[in-house]
Order: sequence, then structure tokens, then C-alpha cells
Amino acid sequence: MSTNCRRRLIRDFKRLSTDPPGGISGSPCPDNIMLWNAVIFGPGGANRRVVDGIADTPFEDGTFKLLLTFDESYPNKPPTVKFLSRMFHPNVYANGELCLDILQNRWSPTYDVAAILTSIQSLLHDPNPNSPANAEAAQLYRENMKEYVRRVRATVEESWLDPEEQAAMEQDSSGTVGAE
Amino acid sequence: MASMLDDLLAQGITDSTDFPDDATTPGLRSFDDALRCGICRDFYDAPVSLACGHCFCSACIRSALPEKAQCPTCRKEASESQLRRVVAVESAVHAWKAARDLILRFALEEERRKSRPVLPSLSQTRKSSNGNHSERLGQKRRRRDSPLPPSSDDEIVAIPSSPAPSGSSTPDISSLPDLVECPVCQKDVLSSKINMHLDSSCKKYLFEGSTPTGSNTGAESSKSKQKQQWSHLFPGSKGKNVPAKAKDRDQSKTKTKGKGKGKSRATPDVDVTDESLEHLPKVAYDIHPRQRISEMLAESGLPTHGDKNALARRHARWLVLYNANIDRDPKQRHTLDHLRQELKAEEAEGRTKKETVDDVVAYQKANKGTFAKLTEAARPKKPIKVKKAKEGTPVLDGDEVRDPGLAEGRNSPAGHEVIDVDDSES
Repeated sequence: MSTNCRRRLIRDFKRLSTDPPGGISGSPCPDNIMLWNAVIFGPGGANRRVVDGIADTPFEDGTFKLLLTFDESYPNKPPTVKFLSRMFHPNVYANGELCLDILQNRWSPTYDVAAILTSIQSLLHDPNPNSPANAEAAQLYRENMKEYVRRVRATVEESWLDPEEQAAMEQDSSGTVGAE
Repeated sequence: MASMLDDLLAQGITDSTDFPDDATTPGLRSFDDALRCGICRDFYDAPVSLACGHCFCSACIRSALPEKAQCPTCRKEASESQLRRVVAVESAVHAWKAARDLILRFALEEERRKSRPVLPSLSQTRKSSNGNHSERLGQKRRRRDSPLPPSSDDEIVAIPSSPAPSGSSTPDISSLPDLVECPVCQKDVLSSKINMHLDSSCKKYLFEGSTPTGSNTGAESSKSKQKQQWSHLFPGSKGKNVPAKAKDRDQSKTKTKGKGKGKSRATPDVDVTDESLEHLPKVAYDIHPRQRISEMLAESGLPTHGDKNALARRHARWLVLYNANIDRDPKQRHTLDHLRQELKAEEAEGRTKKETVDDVVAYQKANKGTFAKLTEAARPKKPIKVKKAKEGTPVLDGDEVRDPGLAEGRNSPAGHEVIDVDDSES
């Protein structure tokens, strides 16, 4: 017998697999339906504009990995969502957790995994600099778009690498940041 | 060994995506969806509406409102006092549940019919679906192992993995009503799962029809219904084929369903079919001592173990189940004993803690294969290293380069599933 929560997650999975929104995928771990892996492609494409030689969709083509953890209170309470890939974004903390209203006070039990992932995808393109989780990213986003884009592109390129290579890069970059 | 996810998928949990998309069978998927609660995504059970007009299962909205006093769909202010039964929806659900199995068969038949002309030849299709490397969820093994019945090739092909028209999707294989009778237990099993069923000593992978397993006894009741049907056919041999254990279970079930057990409890059971039954009022647990909550539980015939929080939680959940039961058609209501069992089962599932992943790098390393597959599945339409479908059929936006294994049963035309993904999961 499975609980309401598990049955709901199975349905979320069926819907996400049958009708996946563009650039989004996710699936539960085979041995634990309460733990989901997901991948989001950074938004880009159609409404892309180029200003001063910089595309305004810096996250484009990034393959960002996420982890969603649920408990029995789902869908009355939101899951915990965390980026596994290193991010440079005004609303993503250094540990990968994110500051997104629908995962906190604006949660509704009618949301499902597809809705969560879609919201996160659009958050990448439309940060909310008023509730910064990464002060540096928020400041650059407001004041120095060129540098912001450069830093974001670095994480995009990093997102294509194997986890081992990423770990190595992370050490490097934290080293350089410290030196600056 | 089937994974936990396979087990869950094999439970026959229905969803509107079981139906083909609207291009193939207009309106059917949306219709099925329209009869489902936005919170649990199951068919409305005791549907009630809020002042804004949005409809939910009584138990779902009664659990959601204490979290936030607003409509989950439109966020308008809401409270339990607004709840009104929606009798028409309840009858519609009832009728649809009865019709769904048949309609689903028709819909899938229609999908197969529409997809046929696209294919070069049927035997080729079978090869491609058998050799589909990206198939997942253990279905691959299951399907390969399944014995091919000694019928003509054409028949085998069409059913288990029907090729869909480009870009469209087929529902999960577990909902395809391609049934065979198990030679051992004589119950219906999906032909694709008959071997798994036999391996499990006839315990798992039984086909439960489209009856959603909404209540604890969903699976049980469909089994006993089956038995009843058999006993109609063979009035003389009533129950002879039924294993002794199953018979015992059935008897004990009818006992609990009657009111025999209720009498031994502190309060005699009320007649749940009484139309004038009223909802129980909410309780402010904070102002009551543990002893008082314990008494309240005892009055309702519920266990009284645990600390104050556990008692309050149990009683609050009881109120939800009880009040939602009142919102059912009096003839469809569950007995109080049934509700007590439900509460007990829920508690037995326990309150799992959220897992935490601390070492992000190690986790990604361990799940490298999974993430590689997910990345390919999510990759937006692009001229990446994918051998395109040879048919030259136009592919729907964003729909082309998906791992067909991810969308179980979503079958791209032959040659479409050639995605170079590391299949080995480390």
C-alpha cells in the first residue's frame, strides 16, 4: 500500500515523462521515490536579444543538475530543491539551495514536479534581485551586466563537465576568488 | 529484482496521461483530467467546492486549508465553512470510473490505427522496440523475457509497444489492458508482466483494472469482485478455486466491515449512512492537556499512545477522514472501522525524514549515468548527434530528442531512439 504522497509522485512522474516541458527532465531514484534527480537546460532561444555584444540569456545551454527531496507532507508542503551544479545566480545560495517564492510562502498543493522545474527554469532568466541569496551576483546583475554574464557563462561551461572535473575547477576558482 | 519504483508503477495507478494526446483522441485526456483533484491527481473522492468554484476532494482540501487558508488553485481566501458537496461531479466520477477501462481500450486502439500508415512494416517495428536501448524502469527486461505467444507476428507487434505517430505519446505500459489469464492463479495479468507475476508466486503484478487504488481496500475489493463474478459463472463450485488464505481474509474483512468490532470499542458506531450526520468541529489542541485529547481519541475508538503532539496529529487527521466521509454520497460512505483502519495504515507508513545529500560531488559521480540520461532527455531541439527519423516526418517542437525510456511507452518511430547515452549506471 502506498501513501497519498507516493501515489501523487508516481502521477507527477507519468506527467513529466509524457508531457515534458522543453529543456526539463526528472525522475525519481529507482529505489527511493522520495528522492528525484532533475536536469534543467538554461533558457535561451526565441526571445534572445543581444545588447552590446552580450546575449541576454547567459544561462543558455547550461545543463544544470538538481536534487528534489520529498517527505510525506507533499503535496501539502513543498519539496526541498537544491542545485547540484555550481550556480552563479542572485537567488541561489552557495550551497545550491534556492530562494524561490513558490518553494516557500507561495507554495500551493496543486503544483507538481513539472511546475516546480519550469519555475526554476524561468527564474534563471528572470532573477529577483530584491531577495538576493548571492549578494555578489545580485549586485553584478544590477550594476555590471557584462561581468555578470561572464561569471554566469563560466558556470554554464562548468555544467558540461564531469563531476570530477567540476570538483577540480571549484577548488581552482575558490582559490582565485580568495586571491582577488 | 524489481525496484521500488517498478513496484509502484506496477500498482496500476491511473493518470490522465494514460490516454493518447488530444491530437489522436480529442478531449479524452482532458476529460479524464477534468475529473481529477488538483491536489492528489486522483479521481475526485467526495468532491467539494470552495466559494471561488474550484473543486477538490474533501479530504485533500481539508488537509490543505490548515496550511494556508486560500484556494490552492486561484489563491482566493477560503475556509472550511465554504465547502459544499458537488453531487454532480461525484456522479460523473462514478460513471467515468465504470466506463474508463473500455474507453481507454478504444482510445489506444484508435492510436494504433492512426499510427499504422507511418510505419514501413510491422515486423520492423518490433525489432526496433525490442532493441530500444534507452528503455528504462525495468520494462526492457520484462518485455524481452515475456514469452511471445504462438500467434502471428502482427498481433504481437501491435499491442505491447504501439508505435505512436511522431511526437505523440502513449500511456504507461502498465495501463495497457493487454491481459492474459495466469495459468496458475487464473487472475488477469498484463501479458508483459506475466513472467514477473509467475516469478513472484502469483503475488505481484496482478491487473487491477482501472479502479484507482484510492482506498485501502481498492485492490482487495476488485479481487473479491472477480471472485464474485466467478461464483456467478460456477454456482456449484463456489469458492473452490479460492486459496484457503484468501478466503479467510475475505471473511475477516466482511466481519470488520460489519459493526461487530465497533461494539467492543468505547463508543458504538454511528450509522454512517444517516443523511443527517454532521461534520465534527475542529479542536484547538493547544488549549487542551494531553489527557483531554487522549479522551477525545478514546471516544472515537482510536489508539491513545504517543506524546501530546502525536495525539493531536492523530485526532486532527481523524477529523479530516471523518468529515470527508460525511461529504460522500451516504451510500458510498465507509464504515468508521474502515476509517480507523485507514488512519492506522497511514500512521504505519510513518513519517519519513527527508533525505539529505551532503557530498554533492560524490552524489553526482554515483549518479553519473542517470544524469547523462536526464540531460539527453531534457536537451531542447537542436542539431545534436542524434540520428533523425528517416521517415522525414515533421517533429513537434521540443519533442524530438527525448529518451523514449523516460516516457514509458512513448514510442518514437523506428530509428528515432538512437541516442548515444551511457547506458551503464555506475
